[in-house]
Amino acid sequence: MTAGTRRVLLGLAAMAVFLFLFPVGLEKIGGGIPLASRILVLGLFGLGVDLIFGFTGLLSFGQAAFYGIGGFVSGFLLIHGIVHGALVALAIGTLAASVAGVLIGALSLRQVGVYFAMLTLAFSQMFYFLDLSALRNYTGAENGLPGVPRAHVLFWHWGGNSEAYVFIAIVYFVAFAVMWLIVNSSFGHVLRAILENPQRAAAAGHDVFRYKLFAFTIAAAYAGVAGGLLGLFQGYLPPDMFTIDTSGQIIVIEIIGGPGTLVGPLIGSFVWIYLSQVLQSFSAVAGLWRLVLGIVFVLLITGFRRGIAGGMATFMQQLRRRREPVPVATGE
Amino acid sequence: MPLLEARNLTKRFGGLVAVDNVSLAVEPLTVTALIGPNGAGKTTFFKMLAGELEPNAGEVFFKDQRITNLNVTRVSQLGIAKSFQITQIFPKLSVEQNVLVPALAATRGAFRFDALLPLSSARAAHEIAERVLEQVSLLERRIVRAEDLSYGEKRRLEVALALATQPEVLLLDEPAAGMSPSERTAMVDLLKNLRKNVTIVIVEHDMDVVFGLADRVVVLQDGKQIAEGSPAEIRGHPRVQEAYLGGVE
Amino acid sequence: MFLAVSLHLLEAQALNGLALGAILALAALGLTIVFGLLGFVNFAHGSLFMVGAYGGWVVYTKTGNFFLALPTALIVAFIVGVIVERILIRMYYRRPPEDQILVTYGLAIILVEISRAIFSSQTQLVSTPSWASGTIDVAGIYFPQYRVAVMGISAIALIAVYLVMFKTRIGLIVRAGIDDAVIVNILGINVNRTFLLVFALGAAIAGLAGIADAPLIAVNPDMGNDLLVQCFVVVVLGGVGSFFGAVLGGLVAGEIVSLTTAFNPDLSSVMLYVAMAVVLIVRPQGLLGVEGRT
Repeated sequence: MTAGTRRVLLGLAAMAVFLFLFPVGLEKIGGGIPLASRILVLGLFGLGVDLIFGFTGLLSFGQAAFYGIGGFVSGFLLIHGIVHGALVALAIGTLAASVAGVLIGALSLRQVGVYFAMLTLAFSQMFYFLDLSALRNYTGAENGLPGVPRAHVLFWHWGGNSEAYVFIAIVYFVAFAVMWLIVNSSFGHVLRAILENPQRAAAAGHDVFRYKLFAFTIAAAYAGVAGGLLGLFQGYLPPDMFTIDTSGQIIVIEIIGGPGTLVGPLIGSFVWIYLSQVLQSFSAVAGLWRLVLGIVFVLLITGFRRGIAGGMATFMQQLRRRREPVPVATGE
Repeated sequence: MPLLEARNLTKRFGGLVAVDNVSLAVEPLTVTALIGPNGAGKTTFFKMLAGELEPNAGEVFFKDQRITNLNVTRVSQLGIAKSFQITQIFPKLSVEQNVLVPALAATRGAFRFDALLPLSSARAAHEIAERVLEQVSLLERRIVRAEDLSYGEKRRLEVALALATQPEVLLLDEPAAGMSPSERTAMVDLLKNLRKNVTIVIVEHDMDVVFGLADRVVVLQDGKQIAEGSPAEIRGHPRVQEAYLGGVE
Repeated sequence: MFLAVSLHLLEAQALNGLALGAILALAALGLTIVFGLLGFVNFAHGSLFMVGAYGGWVVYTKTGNFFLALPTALIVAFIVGVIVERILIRMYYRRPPEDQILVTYGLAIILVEISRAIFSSQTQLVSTPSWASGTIDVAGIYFPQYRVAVMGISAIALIAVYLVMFKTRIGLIVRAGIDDAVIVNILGINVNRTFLLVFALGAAIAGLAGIADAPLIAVNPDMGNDLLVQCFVVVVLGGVGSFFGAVLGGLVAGEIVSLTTAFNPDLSSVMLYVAMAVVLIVRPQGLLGVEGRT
């Protein structure tokens, strides 16, 4: 077994252990199993965002569209009994989100920077208004879609919160493992090159547009899975899954947690959800948690782009460096 | 048969004619030097060869195939690699990771969705990377972050990035710019080694480098081609002397 | 008869579109000037609109005088713009566009949450001023007076900005800077101060649009969200950095929404974003923008 393989297995084992202990630990600090489930769902959503932003440098302000599509498609199928299995419903919802990803990506990725962000924003708003108006018979408009049944997975019918968490944790684990493979593959390496210097990556012989499109579609798929899971978990699909706030929220989560770390979004969503749920109970600061996070966000962008996970990684690197000789650039 | 041929390339930027009807035929396994005062249009001409800019007129042929308006990715995949005048590396990646980028393109083509296979399994790409780093003497620095390299090392990495695409033609835009004398000598030695297997076209200001290396020299001034020939012919060429004597060279 | 009703409805909606367009043009003007000169899109633009609305509303409820509310909104938004530019924005002029988007988005969150803390999330209803509360007969259509007033306010503000931009020296500098910021710098003009003024001006215009629009829409801390995206649409339609592009884009956007409402209300907002996407794909520089300006 190579050192690389060992690292991956150790990392996955650590993640598995974490997922096992997470709800337990969370309960000790005022949270609960439902909170843990929510955090994982957002963390899953964020994995996709980390791929396109943290690893490829694409700032999309429209990921909510895929979150919503995945959620509403799979939820609709289950509510109306068209499909009975959770996995099938999720798969179809994810497929729908991926198709939307390919379409929106193909149209948006020819642009970069601000124009790309604005295009993703525009498409996302389109879906939001479609959700509220033209498709209201399917989506429930402002009321959303209630009554998503706790479906069964193969022969396992999960009812309570604990069982929901187990299902979500398994999905998250698989998704995490797959994403880890992706970013450490040759494909992932080209994405990193695109992040650093897209012109150079193109001059080196890579079809940058296609790489971006595939990454964008994967991110849409992850958002779709997360949306579907949300519906399954809370039994209800709210229209605000499509809003700019949702797109913005997942970006804030990504930045706070740390771009390019894969665990960053998980940390970020923990911070976001934990603070919002737990601080609500202290009425004095109830509304202020968002303000605090906003300030932290701005500070991070300004001075410290690596977020919590990135900061931890750098800290550990520096610990390691103290023991090894530092390769210094030899001036010639 | 020339390997790379430019015919009557012209490029205008608004009212300014940066390159005016320049032609160039490059024979395989030769070193062609492109010289001229600053602003002569050398880099612009290079950009048209590499697909970074579209010419307003003229054509570019590679192995008798018209490549005039192909983008940089296609041109690179066909076998023409260009290094940049202003260093264009991947700053936060290590030296080895840097060189793997073009190496991956050389072994995998313009796109491959091998998202579930680890990078470490790309044997061929790693071999190319190692070989190229050895050639530019950066192998010991392989784990250093590219942005932490010295200026000279960065220029060598710049050449390495072009080399790692396994090109048939290497377009080098002032590879030794800003280097110390010893670094320059090392670069010339490198090029002398490379020329055995790769066709080279090089933009240079250092006349010693040019005359020690080049089989043919082309001289540009104000976008126009004012002379072409062997180094000896160019050295004594009156127009060339005039172009340089009058200028800041 | 179906046709007669339809035509009447179309006329009414076309008129509505002008009113809507007037607000959009004004709001987007601030965004496009900042985008054109400073090269980045201010994702806090909607929140500045909101700040103006609240600033004006406070004065309006205290004094009952709408004519005081208007300049108040302008000044409050201007001041906030100055503060924000000095503390934060000026550090970002040379940073990549993604950073600029992110920081202004974060700034928007901050401004919105501060407003929420002061004013609560409750929607405030701003009554139309007494001098514009009736309807007026425009060619057989009963049109709310206030909407005409809004068009008037917007027109005056647009003319004022036009005069500044095209008839004054500082306007010349701004327009030159929109064309080529580097040259302006080289010419030794104090770019820092110009940038500050432009940014604050953009904020002020947004604030004015906010109070002008306040009687027509719900005033709450989140009111800037949808407006922000609508302003993007206008800027894209009209072309970045173009004064007339903002005006034209605003009117076109207003008409798209209003006329679509006549045929299919469900699709009115959707059409706006479809139009934006189409323009971004087919002609990214917009109707009046200059090619190559990104």
